[in-house]
Amino acid sequence: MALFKLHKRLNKKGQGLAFAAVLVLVIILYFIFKYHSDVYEFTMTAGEDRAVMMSSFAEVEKAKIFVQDALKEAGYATLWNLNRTNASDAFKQAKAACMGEFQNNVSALFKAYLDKYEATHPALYTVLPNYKVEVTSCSWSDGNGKIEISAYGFYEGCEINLSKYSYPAYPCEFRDSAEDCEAVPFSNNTAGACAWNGTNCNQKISEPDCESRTESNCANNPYCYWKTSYGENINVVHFETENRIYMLNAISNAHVDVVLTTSEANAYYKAEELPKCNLYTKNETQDSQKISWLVLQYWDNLAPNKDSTIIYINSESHPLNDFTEVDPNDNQYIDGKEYKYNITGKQVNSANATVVDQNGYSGSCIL
Amino acid sequence: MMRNVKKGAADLLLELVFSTIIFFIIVAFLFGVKGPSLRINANANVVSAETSFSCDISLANLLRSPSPSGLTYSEWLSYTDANDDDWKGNVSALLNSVFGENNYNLTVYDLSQQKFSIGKYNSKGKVENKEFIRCLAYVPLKANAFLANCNWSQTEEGKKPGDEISFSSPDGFCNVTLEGQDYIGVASSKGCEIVSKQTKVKDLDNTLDSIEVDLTIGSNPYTLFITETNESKNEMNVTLSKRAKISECSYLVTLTIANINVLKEMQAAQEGK
Repeated sequence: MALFKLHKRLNKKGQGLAFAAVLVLVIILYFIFKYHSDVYEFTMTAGEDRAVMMSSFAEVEKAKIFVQDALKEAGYATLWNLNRTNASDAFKQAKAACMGEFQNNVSALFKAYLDKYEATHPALYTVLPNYKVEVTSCSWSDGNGKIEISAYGFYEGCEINLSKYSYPAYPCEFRDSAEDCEAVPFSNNTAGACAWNGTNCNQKISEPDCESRTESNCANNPYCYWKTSYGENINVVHFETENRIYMLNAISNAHVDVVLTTSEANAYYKAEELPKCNLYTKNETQDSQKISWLVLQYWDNLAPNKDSTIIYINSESHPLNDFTEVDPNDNQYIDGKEYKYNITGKQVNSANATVVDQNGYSGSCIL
Repeated sequence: MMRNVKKGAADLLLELVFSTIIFFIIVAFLFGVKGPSLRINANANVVSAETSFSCDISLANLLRSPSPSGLTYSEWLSYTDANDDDWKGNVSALLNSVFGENNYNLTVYDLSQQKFSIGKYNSKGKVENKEFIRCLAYVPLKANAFLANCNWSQTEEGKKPGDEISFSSPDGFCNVTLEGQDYIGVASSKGCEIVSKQTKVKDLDNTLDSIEVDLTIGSNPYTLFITETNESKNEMNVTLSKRAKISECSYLVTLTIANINVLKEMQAAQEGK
């Protein structure tokens, strides 16, 4: 009725405007309704736990490969440190210190590698045992050397001797009467594991503290014995991350053997190059000025030690710290990196360099 | 009370036209426009245990397989120049026969940088609904690179309370000033940032006290070990050690493979296909 009255009062122009207003309103509502929507996105992940659990078995193998490679690498690196020019001579020198210094050096480097090892997946935890490295033989004749090394998962410590010490079959603490207390047997089914003192039930023979004992006083306690094991395992543990509580432990014997030979050592030596360098001069024009540079180019798998690397220009010594990097914005060391020194206006009669890497290995070059 | 109003034919026609237009607009609105919509986009990421396991075990087997040179592939990577066309050729031939061309990728990273890569994914993978699964393994770096990058430490002996000690680490300089009398610890640092909340312990009589303080040089983690060595002379050994992760201390070998339907493969094998 109100609309009818309004319609009556409006003239044609007014009616047209009202119609247009309604039309515009409807169009606006159309677009609001058409393009307004709430979108929810989520990703369901399935099977990952099971996949990682399965991978535990492969993880043990990966760890063992790493251990074996690290032992071999430690062996060849120790030979390289004995003699950096000739692999055969290194074997000859190693033979003289086979089970002494050579073995100790291999063992130290091998353990440094193992200290860093981690599982390849965050849901897995790899436990490597302590290792005992034994060089079992060193031979050398007619230029050919051979070294055999074994690494065992090793454990030694003072432990409870379970053939002598028995635990109560049930906890004594929860017995609240003399009758219940004295009825608790030992784990080997003999009677009398607990004793009633009038108010509490306690173990008759308290658990011996063996772990804190050294080898010399371990046997002082009749329930303790000194355990030595060469058969410790590599353990890979998979923890269930959600509410289900279980744990998968994949185990493999940690023992590895490697054989070092002269032919393999030659391949190792070939790759283990000493740092190399090249010295040259270069002229540049910058802002209409001619600038002369002495450039040192350096090759090694490690960055140079800038204090120890010395460049002699007309017999005057300069550490590499006096040089600037050709690509100063690039902090990353790359093989073949160039360092330059301004020699504008200076007559350079001679230049040579002794380059030293982070491990103290050195090489040299001349202009 | 309503009154009849006499209208002209033109008025009636106009009203009829307007009414019809409004009627059709309302009908179009009702049928043509959906109400405010709620859209749910759900993605399923299904990880196949079989594929994952085959990736891991294939990579492990590859690394311990003997190469034509007699060295295993992992030893070859570790001892020799791994950027070697023979290595890549042999390995890609092996992986081609196992997974098929364009269904895998093997990449070797050297100290966080990509050293080389072989194989590639099938570009049709998305169309064929293939999922790609990645697994990885570590191969020891050569000893000199390992020691320089991962096992770096510097020890300064016979230091006294209040001394300033300068360390030159692979990631830059770090100067620390030791606490004064009565404490073992770090008072301040330059070039490195102390992370540990506890930076000092009380210097107790008749005991050789020590403390470990975590700090960073750049973003790289280090630990400072301060150990009292002589109680009466008030002397300490101070060692700065780099705490590097295995991924920074080894070649990282990654293998990416497409989902394989193991049951189908097994069935085909049984049927002699």
